[in-house]
Amino acid sequence: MTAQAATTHAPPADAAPEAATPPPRPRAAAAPPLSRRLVRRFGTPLSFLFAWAVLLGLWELGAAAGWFSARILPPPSQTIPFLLAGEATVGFGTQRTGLVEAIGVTLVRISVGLVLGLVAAIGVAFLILQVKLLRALVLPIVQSIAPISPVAWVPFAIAIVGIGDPAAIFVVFMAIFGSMCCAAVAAFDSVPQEYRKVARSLGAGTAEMWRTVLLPAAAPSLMTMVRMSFFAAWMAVLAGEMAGINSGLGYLIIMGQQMYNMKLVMVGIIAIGVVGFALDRLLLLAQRRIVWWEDAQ
Amino acid sequence: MNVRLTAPGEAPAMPAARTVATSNAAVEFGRVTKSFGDVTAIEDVSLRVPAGEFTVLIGPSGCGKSTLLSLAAGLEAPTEGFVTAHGREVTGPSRDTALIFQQHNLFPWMTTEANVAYGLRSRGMARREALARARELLAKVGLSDFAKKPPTALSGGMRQRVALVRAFATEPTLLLMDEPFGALDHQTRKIMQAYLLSTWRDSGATVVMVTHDLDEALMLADRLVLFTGQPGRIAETLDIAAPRPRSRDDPGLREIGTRLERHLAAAAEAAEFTEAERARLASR
Repeated sequence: MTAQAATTHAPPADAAPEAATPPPRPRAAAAPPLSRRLVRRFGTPLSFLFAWAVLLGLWELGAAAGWFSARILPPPSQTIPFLLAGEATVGFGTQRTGLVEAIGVTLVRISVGLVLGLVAAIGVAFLILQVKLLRALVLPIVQSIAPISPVAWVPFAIAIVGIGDPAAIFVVFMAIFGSMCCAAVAAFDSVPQEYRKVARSLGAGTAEMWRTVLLPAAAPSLMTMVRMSFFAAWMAVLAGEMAGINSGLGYLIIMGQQMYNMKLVMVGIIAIGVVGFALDRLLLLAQRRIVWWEDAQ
Repeated sequence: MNVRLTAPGEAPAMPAARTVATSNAAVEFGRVTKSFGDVTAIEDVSLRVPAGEFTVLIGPSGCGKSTLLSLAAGLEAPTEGFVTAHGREVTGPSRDTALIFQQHNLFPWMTTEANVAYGLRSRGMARREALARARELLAKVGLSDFAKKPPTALSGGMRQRVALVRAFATEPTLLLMDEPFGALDHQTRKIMQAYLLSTWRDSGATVVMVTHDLDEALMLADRLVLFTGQPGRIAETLDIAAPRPRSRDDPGLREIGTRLERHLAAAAEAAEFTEAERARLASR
């Protein structure tokens, strides 16, 4: 009983400094410097590195001890030199594509698809909210499109716009548009009625309501939605590149498979993981910056 | 339940059932019924809110007080009957009407001054001018230091004060308040009541306030409208002529308070317990 009391109630030694700190509002304090925020955002980098070191160590050990074939799962001691030697290229002549180039191509497709998808999703969500008839006519369609696997659109994409960037962008767009649009409608629908009532009684018209109330109020959900869509886009573009669109990271990996070069496949996977993770963190930073008021609420 | 009582030594209360439009009514409800689907929120409510007066609507929760405010604000349309503001039928939100809710509803993505300037900007005032005016208004209530901070940097009482400043910034002739101080602690609440009274007196606006705090109603109201619930009807209207600042110990107010307290308690009990439960409670 006493032990329990000691754990539930803060000991006086802890309570005193808390009481001594001035009562002001910590929320009003200036934001901490970027470096500190980077550390906070990236979690504890040390434990992160440690976890990976353990996994890679076991991998290396397993390959050396012959627990699995080093040809199928090439250990870091083979993959890293391969990566550094700049041999991660496929194809010949004009079709030749390197790792950096493949990453670039894939990223451009994702970015363009994501931006187009976001603009279209918000645009359609706007219409659905403004026009009651469209909510009845368009929303069910959008909801039906949302769960379709992006790879299913590949034949269409190729048939409509041909092989290459436009097809990949089309696949990314179809992968994210439906879910983004549904999420946007939900985000705008859940803006508190009181905000709208206050804005209306203060004299805001429709355009002003959207610009100054609905968009900012929905912005936190919209930003989360963009980050989720980024993952979906990342997966969609790779699937598309593996299923007929002949360039980019997905193509690199498929070529690795066809040439039975597992180091190439491994390098492709590493690139996908590292770039995807880094970009998600960047989006998170952008989110905190754009919807700065969310932290303080 | 339709007994109309008059506070001792005062003018008879307004008859509630029939009203005649006169020039000094800021808001008038004429035999208003409002239903949401199958639920009737208020039924056959007639009420005149005289211009420049402080009217308080009091009653148990769920008796349609807030609905009445929405109707006056033009955010809802009556199912039956009519609502007029300054002699004209209310058809939508008006620029002369300001709203305040229990939650301050300041926009967290704007600075405090931008919040106060919002209504001015909506009326076409230039940004720079509107912000300057907002800072002026904030200075009057001692919040200059917070003008450039977001509302999240303010305490609960400060936020509600800013919400009041924002509402008054556009000089509305009608201020509708829905339990504006319900979320504040007792002390802050008393300060805010005093602040509201002085602002109201300077502005000359008509105030309609919904509360379920009887004490608050007695301290603030020129006219007290007692609601009973489901569907909401006016049970009683009474004028309180006691001069301000009022004291909670004023014998006249205490007498009204005690009587209304009993009334509200009975209404709350009726809403909360079944007939059988009430009998059991009474037999103890």
